[in-house]
Amino acid sequence: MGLDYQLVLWNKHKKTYDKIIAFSMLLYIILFAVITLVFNAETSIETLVIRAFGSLAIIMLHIILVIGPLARLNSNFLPILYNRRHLGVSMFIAALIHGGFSIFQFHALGDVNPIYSVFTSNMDYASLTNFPFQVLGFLALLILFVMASTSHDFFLGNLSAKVWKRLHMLVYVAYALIIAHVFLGAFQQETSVFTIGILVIGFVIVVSLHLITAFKEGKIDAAKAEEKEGWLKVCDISEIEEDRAKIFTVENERVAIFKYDGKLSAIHNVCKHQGGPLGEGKIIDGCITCPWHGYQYLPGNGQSPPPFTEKVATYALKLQGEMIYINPDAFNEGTEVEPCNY
Amino acid sequence: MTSGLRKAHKYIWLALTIVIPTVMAFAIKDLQFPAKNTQTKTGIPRNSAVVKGVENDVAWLILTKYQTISVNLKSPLKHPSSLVYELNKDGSQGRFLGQLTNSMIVHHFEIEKPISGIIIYDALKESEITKLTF
Ligand code: HEM
Ligand code: FES
Repeated sequence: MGLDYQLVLWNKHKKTYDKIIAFSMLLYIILFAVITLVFNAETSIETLVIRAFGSLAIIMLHIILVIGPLARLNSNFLPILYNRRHLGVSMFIAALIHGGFSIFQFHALGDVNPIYSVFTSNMDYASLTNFPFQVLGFLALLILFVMASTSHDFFLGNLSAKVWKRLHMLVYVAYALIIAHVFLGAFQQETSVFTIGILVIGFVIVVSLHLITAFKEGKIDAAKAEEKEGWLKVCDISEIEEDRAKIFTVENERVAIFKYDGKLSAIHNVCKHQGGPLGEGKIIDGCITCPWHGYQYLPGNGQSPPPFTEKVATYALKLQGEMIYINPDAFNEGTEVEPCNY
Repeated sequence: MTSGLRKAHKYIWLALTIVIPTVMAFAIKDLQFPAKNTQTKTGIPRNSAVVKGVENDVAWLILTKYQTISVNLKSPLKHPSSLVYELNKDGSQGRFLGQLTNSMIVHHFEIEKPISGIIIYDALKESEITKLTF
């Protein structure tokens, strides 16, 4: 892969990014308030808060949604990917302020429970233009809440990476709900070609980036290799740089074949932490180091060095002359495999 | 990501490519765009003669012979969305004219046919704020 390896100085970067996020959010809110009040000094504080944080949340959501595909298409975006979770939690906070103020302003004054009121104050569920759009916002906010509150690595470990990934794919449902929330709600009273245009363009950008990446990656997954007595032909040794890997597709799964100290080892390409591409990482201090957050694995057995317990699957390699061959049947995670010497 | 996850993402985005534009199209199709309108800082536009005028505790409403109505709020509105609709001769809610945003300016809306007044409506609370009838 032609991606450059970037060492993550995780903690230092994390703090800087957090500051950038907080500062940008504050700047946006202040600008929004100033511009709104210049144009209409009679805007009430509640309306201002609702609109400023609602629009901030949806802008942040668009940024969050494009980071993934951008990072796959161009490795310069990788550093933002590391910090996507904090962006997600911050977006949830903005959405919560927006939703909270809306509930307070529109539903807290009656004698029914405000949440109940969100669902029942408008029962026109069959109508499109008069649809109770706030319900859609509420459901989206619930999803964002579940995601934000389980975003810590503690839950990643406890829910298993699979459940966690599934849970976090709900962001796409939330995105659809929020688009509907805005189109069936705010746009029905504040009909402006400009704001509708922005959301349409936003959608086109998000969806094209995802589809371009998906088809590109799909091609790599579908790649078929030349077979010889059950072994698949990978490449010439010279095609792999020292301490780096070649990513190779074996029966739809990607494998990283590392070259180091005159040896070759192959492990499953997917990091146990959050699925980072191990083959885009590098060997540091004798360990394969994930390019995303720095989890480490021993090339010989796919195990994280103690005290860590992560394990990935390993594969057998053989050399014929200068040509590397791989056995497509993976060993169990953490199985010791004698490296191939050259 | 595993190839399974990559596939799941791909199918979700293909589905969204269909679902979201459908929602957008239906929502846009039924949007009521505001009637032609202008805003001025002072009263009714010059060289337009007043035909009728009414007021209540919320606003003034003036009909000029150039098929325009002018609305001026008496005090800042508490409602975040105050929409103006025509009031048909039979008392039903007519065409959407636009929004009232500010009590310091006068909102002028073009009307196409004779009306008997206007309804000011809060779309978020789904309640009528006031009705003005000539
Ligand atoms: C409990 C949940 C929610 C409620 C009750 C709610 C309510 C509302 C209301 C009443 C409006 C119209 C405001 C106006 O025109 O003055 C609105 C607009 C909007 N909402 Fe929500 N909302 C909720 C959740 C969300 C979420 C989760 C998002 C996005 C992340 C969101 C994004 C927006 C946007 C972008 C607008 C249009 C622009 C604006 O007025 O800010 N809302 N929402
Ligand atoms: S994905 Fe986080 S360290 Fe690999």
